Amino acid sequence: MKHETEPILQVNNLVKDYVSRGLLNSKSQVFHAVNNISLELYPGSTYALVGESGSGKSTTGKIICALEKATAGTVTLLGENYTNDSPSQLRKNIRGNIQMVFQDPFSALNPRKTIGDAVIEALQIRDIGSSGRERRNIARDTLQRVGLSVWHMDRYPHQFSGGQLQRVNIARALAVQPKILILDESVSALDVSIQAQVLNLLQEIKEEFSLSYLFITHDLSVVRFIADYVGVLFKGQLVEEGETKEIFEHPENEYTIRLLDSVPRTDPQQRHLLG
Amino acid sequence: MVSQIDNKNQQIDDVSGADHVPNSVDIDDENKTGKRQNQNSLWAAIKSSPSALYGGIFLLIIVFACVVIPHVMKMDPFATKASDILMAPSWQHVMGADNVGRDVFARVLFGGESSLLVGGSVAVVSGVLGFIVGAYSAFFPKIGYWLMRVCDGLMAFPAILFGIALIGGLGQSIGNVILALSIVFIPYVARVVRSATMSNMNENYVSVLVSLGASSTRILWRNIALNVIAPWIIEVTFVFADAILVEAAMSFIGTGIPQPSPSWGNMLYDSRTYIYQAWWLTVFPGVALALTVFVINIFGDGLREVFDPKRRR
Repeated sequence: MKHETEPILQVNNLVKDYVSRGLLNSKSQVFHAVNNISLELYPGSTYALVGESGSGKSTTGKIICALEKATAGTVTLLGENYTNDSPSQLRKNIRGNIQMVFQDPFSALNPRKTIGDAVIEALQIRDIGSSGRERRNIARDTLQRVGLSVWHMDRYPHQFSGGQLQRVNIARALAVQPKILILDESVSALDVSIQAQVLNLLQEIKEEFSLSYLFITHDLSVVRFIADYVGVLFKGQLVEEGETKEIFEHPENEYTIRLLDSVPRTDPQQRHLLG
Repeated sequence: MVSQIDNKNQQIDDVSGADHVPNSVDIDDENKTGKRQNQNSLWAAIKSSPSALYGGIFLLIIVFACVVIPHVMKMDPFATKASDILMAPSWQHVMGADNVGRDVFARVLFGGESSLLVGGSVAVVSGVLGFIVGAYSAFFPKIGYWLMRVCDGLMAFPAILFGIALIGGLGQSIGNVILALSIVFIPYVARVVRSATMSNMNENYVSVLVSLGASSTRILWRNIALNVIAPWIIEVTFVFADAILVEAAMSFIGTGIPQPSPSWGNMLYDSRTYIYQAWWLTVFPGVALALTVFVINIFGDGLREVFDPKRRR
């Protein structure tokens, strides 16, 4: 990959081990959830991390979002390494710049807070807006931008559908003006027509808010639609990486080939997804 | 400006589309309808659970009877009358008179007042402290480990034993009864709060708050606490009932509310000697005690139903 710009996010030789110790045997077992992953995310682009469940996709996302500590390796945002930062340093430099949208939209919202309050609280935490009224207006505008309406603001999460809730989650992430959005299986829990709506929304706001996406998914048909680059994860290792078109047309790794073959084709005459 | 009626209509059809977004609606107008709706649904939920409704009503009646009636009617639980000694229930003494000629009805009501005072204070004190201990021990696992070992230690004592020891050391007074029972019941509340907090901490909304850079105070007290309140209230009502029972038991063995102040426990103790001659000395305080604890437990069960999210969806 040749690029004229500097990467916004750089992941170098990331390792995450989980150590489990049995009750009887004193030997501890080490499980490499993430094993030596390196990737680069460029401003305004979308990097899709694909792989089967248990391949370490979500763990990678959580480490980048600084929700988990890496065992080894570094993650840098605009050239600044924050892997070993203290919570207060993270709060100052990283929090708010990297936001995550989770797979389960319901669990990502406090069931006892209205969605308006959820967005307003995010603004409060990031100290955006000077008065309560201003924050409320920003929250309203952001929610409207993702396709919700003013009267939704005073409703509770259980009064919404999954697709609407995922819009709320996206709105909350957008409200704090992040640079990077990590979408961890964000559309996998939605049904197909809603998936398409949310994906279109994501495409629209990407340019509008000059975002970069790290798209974590197992759904290759979505990847082809949204991603510029693809990294294929298998058992914690990045087995193949490249531009989306390249990967889909000329997969080199055996696992990637199997993964691509597993995607059902809409046209039986068509041999390859992009062929 | 879109009128209220138009909004109502638009609320009815599904709203996933962004096409008909009114652009300049006054927010404050919208605010009120939403809040009111939510309160209504809580009231509807309470009405839908008969045990919460009737338990609550009967509890209010008991509280009213014990706290308001004796003072309004100017009853005297200490006045003795030699001619009324061991008088059976009659119009003069609805629940009879005891071995020194005191009105049992007045004593049952005053005893109820102190029982409710002890139960209520214990519920509030151990409720508040248990909430704090439980929430922090879940949020900071290292402190929590030690806090929970202390709680285990406290739970190993039977409540009565701990109460007797403390009363023995500090002297017999209603304040010390409340103190002793509060310490005993803190671990029970803390356990419930801790487990509810821990299960909430695995929810993604906490991860989102962390990734936004929220302080732990905000995460714990302004978000997780809201979701822990329901199991907490239920546990506190059960502590309320338990504290009344333990107080009665302590009074029964003479370490509770000091004589001659009436309490259901010491009334039962006094009645032992006369159980064959004067059944009313045993039955009325006993029934009052059993009924109160029963009603509180029913109310607690009702609250459990009301707060069950599966019912409220």
